[in-house]
Parts: sequence; structure tokens; C-alpha cells
Amino acid sequence: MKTVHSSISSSEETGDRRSWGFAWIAGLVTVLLILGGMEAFWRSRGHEPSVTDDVDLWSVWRAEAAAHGTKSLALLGASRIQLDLSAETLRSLLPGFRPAMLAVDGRHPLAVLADLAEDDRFTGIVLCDITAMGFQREYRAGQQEYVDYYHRHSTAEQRLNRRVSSWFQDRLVFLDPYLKARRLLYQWRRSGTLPGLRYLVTSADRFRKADYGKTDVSAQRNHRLKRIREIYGNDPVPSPGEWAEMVRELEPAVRRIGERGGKVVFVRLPTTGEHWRIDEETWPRALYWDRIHGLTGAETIHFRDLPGLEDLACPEGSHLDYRDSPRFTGILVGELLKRKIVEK
Amino acid sequence: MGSYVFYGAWNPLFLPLIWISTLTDWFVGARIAALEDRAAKWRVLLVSLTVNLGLLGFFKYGGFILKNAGSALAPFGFPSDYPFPDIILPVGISFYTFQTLSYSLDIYRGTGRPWRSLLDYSLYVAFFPQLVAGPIVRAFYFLPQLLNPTKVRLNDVAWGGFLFLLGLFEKVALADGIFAPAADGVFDGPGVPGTVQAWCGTLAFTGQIFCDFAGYSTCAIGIARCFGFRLPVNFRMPYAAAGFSDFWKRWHVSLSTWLRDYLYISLGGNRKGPWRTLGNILITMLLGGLWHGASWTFVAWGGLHGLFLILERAVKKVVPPDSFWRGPWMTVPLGLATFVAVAAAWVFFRARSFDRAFEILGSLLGLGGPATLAALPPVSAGLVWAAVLIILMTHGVMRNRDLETAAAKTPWWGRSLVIAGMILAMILFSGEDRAFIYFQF
Repeated sequence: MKTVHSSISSSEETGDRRSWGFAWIAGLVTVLLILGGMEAFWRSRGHEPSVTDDVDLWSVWRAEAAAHGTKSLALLGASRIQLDLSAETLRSLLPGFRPAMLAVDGRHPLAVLADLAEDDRFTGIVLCDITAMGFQREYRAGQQEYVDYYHRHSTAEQRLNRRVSSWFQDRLVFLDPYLKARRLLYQWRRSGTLPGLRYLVTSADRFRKADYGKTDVSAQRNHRLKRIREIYGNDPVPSPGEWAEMVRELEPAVRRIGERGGKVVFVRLPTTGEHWRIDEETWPRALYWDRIHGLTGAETIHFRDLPGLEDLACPEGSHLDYRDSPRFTGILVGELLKRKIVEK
Repeated sequence: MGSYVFYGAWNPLFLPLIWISTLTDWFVGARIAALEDRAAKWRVLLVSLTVNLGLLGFFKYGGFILKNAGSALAPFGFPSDYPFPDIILPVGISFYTFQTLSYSLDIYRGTGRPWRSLLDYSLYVAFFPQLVAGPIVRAFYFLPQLLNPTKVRLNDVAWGGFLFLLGLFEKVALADGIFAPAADGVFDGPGVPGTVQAWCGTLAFTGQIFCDFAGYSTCAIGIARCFGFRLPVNFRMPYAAAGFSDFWKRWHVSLSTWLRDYLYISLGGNRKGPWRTLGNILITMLLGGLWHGASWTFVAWGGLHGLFLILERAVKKVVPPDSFWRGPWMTVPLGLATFVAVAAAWVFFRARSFDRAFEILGSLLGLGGPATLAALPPVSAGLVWAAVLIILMTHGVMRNRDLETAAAKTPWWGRSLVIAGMILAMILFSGEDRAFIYFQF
């Protein structure tokens, strides 16, 4: 009869102790040397560490938002708040507060606002980056997938795992998926070159930095204008009356957070140049944005009302360069302090 | 305690289920041993069967049963929709209920005696390395290891660490980094794949399911070894199997032997005539398929393997043992034929529906019509073909060899190169974070 041998272990023989010791030490030293070389190589070419942003990382910060009581500063919205705010400036100007970046690129944020309103553990401040368009009912579920994942699937163990991996990704360039073997092979096959520098990097706290010096700003601007025209062209603008009905539906959520000692602030972040002209033409501020406070009871801040921003320009019309985000953050925090929405 | 903390970190609400299963079989085992009367023992055993299979049935198959009951009863005028709460499947329930059941069944059959220490027995059920995804360890394999205080030896730590690293490498670099994107692209993509693409996706999943599951088992065995414990081998180079009975001696061995010992043999095995034997094989494989998940596609996968085994028995009856066709030169062609059939059967395991499974099978046979699915990136497809080839060659070479002995015979610098290579591959090829596939079972 044939014998099927164990494929892992059936023997006491594992090799002598010393040779295993050598094998492990030499193996680990080899790994450290190669990874050190790779890190030095990518940095010498100007690459920076960047973190993979996904539902697990979002869940880490969603849990954080509920963990710091009245000192929690939940940042809702889409890409603008991720790029326009400087985490370092925010932390230095509001040292007692714990910012939790809950924005999701390309999606409207009201599902997260509703979720925070339902969560009695959240008693902090919501800073919600939104446009008048984002208040429409059809966009409310934009980030629901993230909320559902957090409540149904995210576990403490997964969040710990994500924290640890983000911590490393935040510090080591070679861990960036953009520089992983599969990506390198694609790039090499397509153009015979190594990946170029990216203008966007993401930190473990989910804030992002855009360096428009590393990209073709003109192409980006044209692409964005084309996109915004398409969006506005495909989506009929409701009458101010219809829109007001939709906005009024948020009042209970705002009130609920307020009753727990929290606050909700809707913020219109900068768009400039042609982009702003199209925004204003399609959704006139006086007919839409300026009515939000009266309809919901929430505080509102419009970038056009902030002093000292006259010379600030979004390079591609819709987001700030990382060199401008500290100044903008300082001005925004100044407004929050002035209105006593936050207190140091 | 450590094992409970490990499990509770996922979801502490399901810890009581482990405790219920543990205590039930602990008391059932003691009671069965204390009784003389066979019928009385059977009645006590029924308690264990009811509690364990009841828990498993409710959490894993409750929605499936009600949905199918609704479909079956609808033509007779009964309501077709029976709502079932949307409950998360407790991780590892399929594994630890089979472990506790095996304890009571062994005592019932007289092949084991009740264990004195409840603490030891609780550790056996909840031992963290294998709690959530196997191997399914038999009580009387593990418990005797607790009789003497375990000594952590440096060699065990070095070898256990190596196995842990190997398992992680299989999971992170191969299953998630190389195979999963291609398998997802073909099975979940919109459109009909071409023949080559269908084979690429099927082979990708063939590689993924092995590296994912064997990867977890190897990690579990490695961690246990670091603590001085031995766990049974779960995979023995299965893609080098020459024939389907050989495959099931190599694939998920702890489950296949469990099903053989407690289900197939309980049904009568091969003792009740040729037709009952074939029926028993088929029932065992169908239920083995269902164990993997509450879906008819898993049942179809199990049934297909049942048919393969039946076919193999029929061929063996016709071909005499000293025939040319049973010679050692047949091992390679037979192995490749087995591999192709096993890979094709995985289509039912992976596809989300029968429609999709038949679509992919049609494409595998070149009957799928014009391809409408976007082609896989050449880099992705190339990595899959290369990795599958390497796995096949490794399994072929290591078919009757023992990894531990092979490692011990390798010079230290060779081992260090393997260690470095696996760590680097994990870092460079890692894909997105994915849970182990077998966590859902």
C-alpha cells in the first residue's frame, strides 16, 4: 500500500539549532538591506509615503469620532475637505480637539451626518464640507456603503490591523501600492519606465496633500471643468422651494446632535475661477446656500465670506495646493473660534 | 483565556456559542461513558448532535433552508417568503462544532475516554491557532499533548516560525496578490470570457483557494508548533494527486477524514453492497459540499467530486491492478488529468450562480460564444500562469516528500534565501486586504 507522506512535518528533524539561527538572522538581514535600498531609491527619486485609503481606514476614524466626547471634530465631505485642510495646522490651532477625517472622495456626505446623529456616543462637532447640490435626496446615500461597512463588518481587530498597517505605510515609501511589483510590471510593460511622481499623497489620518507642481494643472483644470459641466448638465436643478423641502429634512439630525451638546457646521469650501463661475451660475448662492441655516438650524460658513482669501486660488479650480492649505485652515479655524463654535 | 480573547476580538457576542458547544460535549462525553446501555448512550449522543448541528444549522443554514422551503411550498399555495434575521455567521462555527462532535462520537464508539480536565478540554475546542479555520483537530490527538507541560524549544520556534511565514506568503503574495485579482476579474466581471481567459480565471481560483486555505492551515500549524503543540497536516501537495481518492487524501485532510470516519462509515461505508457504497460516497460528498456554505453551487461542487470518485471506482474495477494503465509512468498524465478536473469543479465553488458557472464552463470548453468580457491585463494573466506552473511543479516534486525533512537537509543559506524571498514577495506582491476564504465556512 502506498503511503502519503506528510507535506509539512512528520519528522522530529528540523535541522540543528545553530543552522536555523543562521538561516533566520541571515534572511532577516537580507530583507532589511534590500528594503532599505528600495526605500532610499524611491526617496531619491522624490517619492513620498502614501497610505491606502479604504473602508477599513475610514472605519478606524469613524470609531475615533465616537470616542472623544465633546472634543471630537468630525470632518465630513468629499475630496475638498481632505485636501484643503491641513491636519498639522488644525491640531496646532485646536490642540484639545481630535479631528476625525470621514470624508470620502467623490461622494456626498449626508449619510455620515445621519449616522453620527443616530450615534449617542458622538457628542462633538461636525464640520461638513458640502455644496447646495449635495443636499438633494438622491445624493443622501452617497457614503452609506461606508456607514454600513462600519456597523456590520468592521471589528476592533480589523481596525487595529489597519492602524498598524497605516502606521507603516505612513512612514515607508516602498509600502505604497503605487510602487508594488504588479504596478511596476504594468508600467514597465507599457512604457519601459518607472512610475512618475504623484501629486496626491494620503496620510494615515486620511488627510491628503495635493502638490500641483507635480502634475499638468492645465489638463486637470480642463478635465474638471468638463466634468462639472456634465454633472450640472445631467442633473436638473430643483426649484429653491423643492430644494428647501429637502434641506429641511436634515433639521432633526442637526437638532439631535445639538441636544447632546454637539454642533453641526456646513462649510462651502473654495472653488475659484471658471469653476466658481459655473457653480454660482447653476446654484446661485442667494437662492440656495444662504438659506441652509434657516432651514436646518446648523451654522454655515461660505468661503466667500472668509476674510483674507481674496488671493487664494485653486490651481485646477476645485482644490487647494498643499502649500495653501495651512493658511486656509488657519482662517477657517479663526472663523470657528470667532463664532464660538469651538473654544480652545 | 488567550484563545477566548482572540475570538472575542472579532465578536465577543459569539463567545457563548463556543461555551455552549464546549460544555455540551464535555457533559455528554462524561455521561455516555458512565452509561452501559447502548440505547441510552445514543439518546445522550443525540443531545450533542442536536445542540451542535442545531447551532450550525441555525446560524449557517437557517436563511437557506427557509428560502428553499418557500420556493418548494409556493406551488402548493403556501407563502413563498419566510423572513430570516440577517445574522452574521459566527467565524469558525463549522470547525469547532465538528471538533466537539468528534469528541462525543469517539467516546460513543469507545475509541476515546472522557477527559478529566474541563480546562484542557476548553483549550482543545478554542485553541486559537486553528479555532477559526481549522485544521479540524481530533480531541484524542490534541488532548494527550496537554498531559505533560509543553516545552518551547528553539527548534520548534524556528520551524513553527518558518511554517507561519510560509502560510502568510501563500496567503498574502500568492492568493491575494497574484490569484485573487484575476479570479475576481473573470468570475465577477460583466460578460462572457474567452476560452483562454476562462482557463486563466479558473486556474487563478484553483491557485487562490489552495494558497488561501493551505496558507491558513500552515500558519495555524506553525503558531501551534511555536508553542510546542502539534496539529495534524491538512494539505499534502493536493495538486499532485493522481486520481480523486488520492486528491481527497491530500486536500483538507482533517475534513475529509472527519467525513469519512463519522459520516461515510456511519452510513455503512462500503460494507452494504456496491450500490449503497456509491450512494454513501455521493451523500458524503454532497454534505461535504454543503458544509462549505449555504448554497446549491457548493452542493453541486461536492456532488461533482462524488461523481468523480464513483467514476474512479468504476474504472479501477475494470482496469486490473497489474495493467499498463496503473504503472508508475501514468502518475504524471493522471495527475494532470486530475488537476484539470479538480480545477473545472472549482468553477461551481467560485461562481456566484449556476448561470455564471455554466457560462464559465462553456467558455472552458470553447462553447461560450464570442468573448464579451474585457481581457485580463497581460501582466496579471502572466503572473497567474507562472504561479500555477510553479505550484504544480512544487507539488509534483514534493509529492511524496516531507517538507520538514527537506528543510532540514537544505543548507542554512538556502533556508535564509527562502525566508528572505518569501518576506520580500509578501511586501512586493501584496494586494488588497482580504479575509481568509474559509473564514466564511
